[in-house]
Amino acid sequence: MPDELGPIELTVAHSDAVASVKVRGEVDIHTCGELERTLTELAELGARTITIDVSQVAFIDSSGLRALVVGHKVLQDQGGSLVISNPSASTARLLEVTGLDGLFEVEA
Amino acid sequence: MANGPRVVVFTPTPVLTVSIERDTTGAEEVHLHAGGQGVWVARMLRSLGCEPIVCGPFGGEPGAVARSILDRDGVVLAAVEVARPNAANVEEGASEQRRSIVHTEPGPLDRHELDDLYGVALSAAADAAAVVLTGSVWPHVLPAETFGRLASDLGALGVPVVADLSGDQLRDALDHGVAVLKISDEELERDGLIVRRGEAEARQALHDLRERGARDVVISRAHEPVLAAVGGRAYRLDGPSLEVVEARGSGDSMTAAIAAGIALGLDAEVMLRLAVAAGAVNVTRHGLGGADGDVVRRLAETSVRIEVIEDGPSEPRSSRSRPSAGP
Repeated sequence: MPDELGPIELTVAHSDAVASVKVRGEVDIHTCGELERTLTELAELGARTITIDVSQVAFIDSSGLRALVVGHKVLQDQGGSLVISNPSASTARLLEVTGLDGLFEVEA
Repeated sequence: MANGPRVVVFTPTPVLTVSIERDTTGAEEVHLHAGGQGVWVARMLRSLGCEPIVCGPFGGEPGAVARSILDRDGVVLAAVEVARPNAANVEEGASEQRRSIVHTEPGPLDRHELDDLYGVALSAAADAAAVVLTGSVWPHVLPAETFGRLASDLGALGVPVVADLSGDQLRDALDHGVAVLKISDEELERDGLIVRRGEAEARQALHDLRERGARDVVISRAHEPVLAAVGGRAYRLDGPSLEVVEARGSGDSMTAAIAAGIALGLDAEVMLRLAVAAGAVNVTRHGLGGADGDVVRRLAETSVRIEVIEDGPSEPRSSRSRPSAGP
């Protein structure tokens, strides 16, 4: 199913090695590809630290987690890191349960 | 605790086993074991110098007990707490006299539990040298498509996947590509992938399974030589004939040794020797997957005969599958 059908909005800011991505909507099997592509492209453009603001994320499933882990791997391979900021209680729980809060930095 | 490369073992159905046995004086003894295919694979991985992480759901009293046994044994867990109890088996007797008295099945994982388990697997695998996908003999526990998604997502992370699967779980994983498939000729026959067991059929299956998405394939054949296609070659391997104490778990030990070979960056032939030796040694002792790593390595060097039976077999079709060696 094409990514465009999923309700997601990404607001990207990028300057040199630092980038931020504000995500709004649901990160699931229909939308995770767009997020993964964005993270990969930012890394290719030279971003080494990418902060993803997930305060407006209503829902994230295992497909969405894949996008985050792939983003982490791409950055890690280039000496960079991924930061998740402002998770909701449910997103924070998911990151904790899956151990992803130990993989990348999580900022309240 | 081993400090070697990390290998994640996806273990969808851990099992608690209560064994009632008699000691040499005839007195009854009760033993508790945490088991299931993934746990057995993990134990052999540890014997071979890797750091296995068992990724699985644990629930109810069987889950709590299995988890505490694994903790006590120093097995690293990436555990997800689930509502329904794990499978449990109460058995009496040892080896060929063993009989199951009570057997309970695990319940299905609900959507959130499955999502959590999936996320735990991805998280643990992100820094792993290899991942082993073990299956569930109870198809209702999780959808077969989970294995395909995992194969695909782990491939996207660049982590080699060793699959020890059969049935729909195998079919789905192959559709997305795996680095190595370990399967027995008995499973091939049961899944309709060969019409009868025999060397010619198994050799054809090496080609067919590569066509379907396995980069490399290892076929165990009970007491017959193992057949394998790794890289550009096909092999026949003969292991030592050892006294059988416990026939179960031999294939799981082979799978563990294959994953260890990848994680440790071993040459293909060394990896195959190790796999055959691990499978052979496993049958000589009680306690599945617990063979001594030094014994396995020594047998691999001295008592496994390897023969190249085909040089330059057809390359696998899948460009999505992972490299054949190295993390």
